[in-house]
Amino acid sequence: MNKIKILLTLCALLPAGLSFGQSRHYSSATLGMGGGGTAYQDGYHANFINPANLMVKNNHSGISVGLMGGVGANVGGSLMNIRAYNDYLTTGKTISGQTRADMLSAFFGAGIHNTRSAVAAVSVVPFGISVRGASQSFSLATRAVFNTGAGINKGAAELAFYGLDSDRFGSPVPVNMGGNLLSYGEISLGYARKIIHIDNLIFAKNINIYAGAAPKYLIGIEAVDFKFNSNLTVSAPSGNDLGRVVHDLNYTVNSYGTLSRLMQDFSAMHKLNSDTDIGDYLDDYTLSDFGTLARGFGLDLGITAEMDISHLYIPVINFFGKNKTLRLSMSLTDMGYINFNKNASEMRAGGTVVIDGDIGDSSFENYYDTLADSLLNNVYTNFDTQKTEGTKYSLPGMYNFGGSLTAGRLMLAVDYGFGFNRTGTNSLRSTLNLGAQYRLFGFVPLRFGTRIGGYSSAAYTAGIGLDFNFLELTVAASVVNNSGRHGSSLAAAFSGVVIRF
Amino acid sequence: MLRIKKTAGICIAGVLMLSGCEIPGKPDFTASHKIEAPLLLNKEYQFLGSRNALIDSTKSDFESIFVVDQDNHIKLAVNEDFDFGNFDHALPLVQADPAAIVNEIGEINIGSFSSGVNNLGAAAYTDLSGMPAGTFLPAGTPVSGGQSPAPVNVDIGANTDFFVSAVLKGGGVSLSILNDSGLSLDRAEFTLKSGTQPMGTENLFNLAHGDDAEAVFQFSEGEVLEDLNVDVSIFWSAQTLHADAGALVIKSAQGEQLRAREVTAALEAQTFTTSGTSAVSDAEFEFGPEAEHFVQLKAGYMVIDPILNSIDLDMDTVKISFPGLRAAPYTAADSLVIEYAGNEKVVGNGYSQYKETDLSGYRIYARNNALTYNVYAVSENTQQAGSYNQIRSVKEDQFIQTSVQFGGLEIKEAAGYLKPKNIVLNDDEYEDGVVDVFNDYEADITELSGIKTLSEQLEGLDFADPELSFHYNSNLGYTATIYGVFLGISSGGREVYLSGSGKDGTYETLPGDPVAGLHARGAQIGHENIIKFEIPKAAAGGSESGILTFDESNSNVNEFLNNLPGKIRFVGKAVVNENGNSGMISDPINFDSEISLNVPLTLTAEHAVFKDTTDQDLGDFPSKEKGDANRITEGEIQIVYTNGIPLGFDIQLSFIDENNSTVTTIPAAADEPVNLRASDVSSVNSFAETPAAGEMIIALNNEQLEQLYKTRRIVLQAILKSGKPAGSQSLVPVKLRADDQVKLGVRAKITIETDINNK
Repeated sequence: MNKIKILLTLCALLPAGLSFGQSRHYSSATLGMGGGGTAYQDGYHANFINPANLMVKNNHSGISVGLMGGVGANVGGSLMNIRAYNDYLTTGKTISGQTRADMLSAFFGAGIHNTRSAVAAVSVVPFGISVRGASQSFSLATRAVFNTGAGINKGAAELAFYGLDSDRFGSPVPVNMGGNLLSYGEISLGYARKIIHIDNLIFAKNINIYAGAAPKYLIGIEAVDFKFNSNLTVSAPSGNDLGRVVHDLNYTVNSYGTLSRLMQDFSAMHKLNSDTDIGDYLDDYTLSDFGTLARGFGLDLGITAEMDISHLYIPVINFFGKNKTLRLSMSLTDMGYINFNKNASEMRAGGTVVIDGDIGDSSFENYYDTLADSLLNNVYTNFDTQKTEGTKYSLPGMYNFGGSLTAGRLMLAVDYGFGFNRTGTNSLRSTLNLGAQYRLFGFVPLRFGTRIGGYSSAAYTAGIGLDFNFLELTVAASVVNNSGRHGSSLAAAFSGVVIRF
Repeated sequence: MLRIKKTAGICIAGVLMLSGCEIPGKPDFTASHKIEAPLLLNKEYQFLGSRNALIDSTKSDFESIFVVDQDNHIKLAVNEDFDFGNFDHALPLVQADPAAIVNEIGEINIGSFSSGVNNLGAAAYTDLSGMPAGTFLPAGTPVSGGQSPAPVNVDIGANTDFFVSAVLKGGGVSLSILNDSGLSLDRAEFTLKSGTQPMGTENLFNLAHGDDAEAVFQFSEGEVLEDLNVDVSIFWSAQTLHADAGALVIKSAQGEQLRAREVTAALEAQTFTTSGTSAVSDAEFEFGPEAEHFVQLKAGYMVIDPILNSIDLDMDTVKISFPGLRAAPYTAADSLVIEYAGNEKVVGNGYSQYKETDLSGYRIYARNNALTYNVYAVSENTQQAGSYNQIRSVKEDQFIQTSVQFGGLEIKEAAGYLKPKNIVLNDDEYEDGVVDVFNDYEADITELSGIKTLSEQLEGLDFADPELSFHYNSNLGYTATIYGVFLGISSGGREVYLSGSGKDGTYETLPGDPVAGLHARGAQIGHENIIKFEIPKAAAGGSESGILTFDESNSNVNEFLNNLPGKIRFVGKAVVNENGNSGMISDPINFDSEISLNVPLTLTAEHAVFKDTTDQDLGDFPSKEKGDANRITEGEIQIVYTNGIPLGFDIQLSFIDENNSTVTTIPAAADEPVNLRASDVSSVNSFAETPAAGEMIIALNNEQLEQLYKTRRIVLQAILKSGKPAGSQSLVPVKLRADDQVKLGVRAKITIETDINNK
């Protein structure tokens, strides 16, 4: 009865997941099938998607060893609006007047504060091993994660396409931008076991419920946050008033370790000599503090219910095979945080730049010859640094629910999920992943899928490769067919060399 | 078969799904940016000042050419050294004639006749009294009175070793007598004889025993003296011998101013002198009778040929002195004396060495152009020579002789009467007395750098009351009348001669003035284009400073300076000491002069043109014509001004390509000029009064902007218009002040289009 309650509870959570999104770990198998995998990804990759799946067999041998055991990368975001790009920036149009307004609306919508971003994430699994037993499984996997993103608001885009046009910037227009980088390494130790076995339950037989957990130790590589907010006003001339350009700005940069120290040194020196060049200090940055900036812990949890529904007739599906296995899974991934606190500091600057032609005692030529340097030295790099406690970055935590149906060489899968934060490609938008795999000749998986929601517009995925019982070598990719609403996405994954025993 | 269908179905479904995916195309669009920015906010530019002034008076071109008076009124005040050429030709040439010097020894003085031991000979008492020889009469022996029965001859010639013979000119011989006879004599008679020829008789009276006495014999010219002997007779009264009977002794013979025409003897030193003069040429310079007139030599030498000595006597000393040749400090004691003595003595019957004397720094004092010399010679004293070489034969007409010559005399300084001299002030290339103002070798060219810069940029201004002055400082101690050609040439090549014609006559050159040889391009320049002025003489040894001022009353200086002569060419002639007065001249003849332009910036400008050309390569200026991705499709500069300068400007910019063709002009010929209006001008003091405010817009259309990349130079041309008093239509001179200001505000409005990957 308890088992039934658990299943019903899991099912009840499904609708809630529809309104949220995902930032899942990509293997070549999951990416090829739409980016899900909660109910079918086995082996050491399961550590990062659903540790309970360490118990899933999937016609694979019990021991999997990955050498360069998987690389996944994806870029995308709302700023990568391929449709708008193709409509306006590839057709020879002159971006002015109404065309310009329409283009910016296509990219950013109507609101001047609307922000669009581009994100990129790369995960590399250098090594992984999983050992599946009859009632419990173990795994050890390492992963390096690089998340970065940048965003601008519509005002910044208007500055780029209008210039200093008093018609557009006659009243203050926010010109904002930002960016971040978060990278860290993980050492994940997975464990799963069968916790329940039910022989018959309503429509299913031979039901096994697996539970798994994968705690992980996190090592910070680098992190930077940059936020730049400003208002720009270009006053039109009026009579003897020649107008002015006013840029009211402030920005912050959070950095750590050597980079932070160099920024502090630069700031101190710049107070003494405004001609100090920030480039001279950044040149000294050599990543020598790699791996020492942060520590953290994370946890991935999952549960999978695997059942035999061969006795049920399912139209079309039965065409591919009468033996049918249904799995229903749920997982919480990337729960935890990493705290960047080594030599943490925040650079903060702000001020108002007014260009009104008041050149003071300078000559006209000298003033404008040195204006750019003056702005750079006296405003934009004239920041104060303040030591901070550091920044605790939440991992791109997600809730995932998935189901998969295997009928012969066909596997269909569906996943729902949502993110708890916007770290990396994580999105609060819910995502729905649909995927299919057909194993041609039994060892050539043809994979297709789609992802709806998440950090970009709906994406379509495909994958192919060799997947033997003892060896896997597969690739997958993902693209978007209409980026107009939520931007584009481009992803790729490579299984690496996976050897199974 | 069934499996194939399954696979195909899966693949077709996958391909259909992926075929709808978006692929980003190649970028292809044109970005259009408009940039509006104020560039200059009401910046005030002072008309004249240092940094940020319209005219930066600290720039090297303009440094020190502007001065400001108490009212801040600006003047162009250019001071440049001006080369009036070279007055060195005014220095006279001086020459001195050679002088032949002959110095005869003249009459010969004879002194001592013997090296003497106080006894040339004696007459014994016994011989004098006629007693037999050998008679001894002791002291106390009574002697009766008596006289010599016959004169006793004493041959003194045997003992006068210094004398052989002489042909006398006068004087006498003194015999020194000692009475050692033992008697007191009433009288003793001495007859001096030359051989057998009596030369004279002398009596000595009352000659007591032991007395010394002198018997002097006088001779006439022509008498010959040789083989000397003396006849002696005595007369005495009765007495007792005062001592044993002895003799009358002739102790010595000595010439008493005894002078001979010729002589053979051992001679004492003979001194003889002579004097003469050397004529100094008076062709260009006269000393006159004044003792203080002189010529100081910068260079020159005097040569004394070897002195020929025809006398059989060495000349222990020969001095040739020139009282009129003096070294500093030029007193009589500083006269030049050339001496031959010691090792340089002139030996008898021989000659001396040649001698040359550097006369640099010497002064010649030569009254009436005669230079005096004196010769002083002293012969050896042969009496002090060895006995084998004591006797010489000398005649009074024997001499020493030489000659003196002067050469290379160059004047450093001269005081006296300079003969009037007409000189060319410039380097005369062909030495023909003709100098051409357009011959760069001959003409002295003065560039007025500040004016040159202005001249390159401005023309058509009409300055009021300009002045041109020459400040001079001269050490020429004679008046000089200068006939000068001053040709001012503007940067545009316009030539204007400075002329005194048609004015008050102060500086007017008249027909007949000595201006022949002043040419322009090979032709004689007319007197009306030549300025005449006089430079007063400087005080002796000093200098004379003065100012020659050319203004509207005495010259055409308005026309000359309104031409803004960046270059002045000068050729000229001078007549020095036209009146033949005494004065002083020194080498070098310093004639330092400075030209001063004093041009108050009080001017009228109706169509004056300011023009400035700057190299400006706009090759990087974007244009579709050269396939640039970027181009400026609209450009506009708005200038808001408040002009407190009493000058307005109609501005035109011309963009010139590498072939000197105009690419475009702003504004176009058909458009209204870009005008910056002048301020109103006070009718009281002509200074700027009420500033003019307005706006200028310099706009370029797309077509002009497309052509700008061809530009290599930009010519700014501004037509200057002086302001007028409020409500007035008449043009009046306006005065520019240093602190007149123009306030400018500038805004740029530019539209830039950028092609991104356009095909």
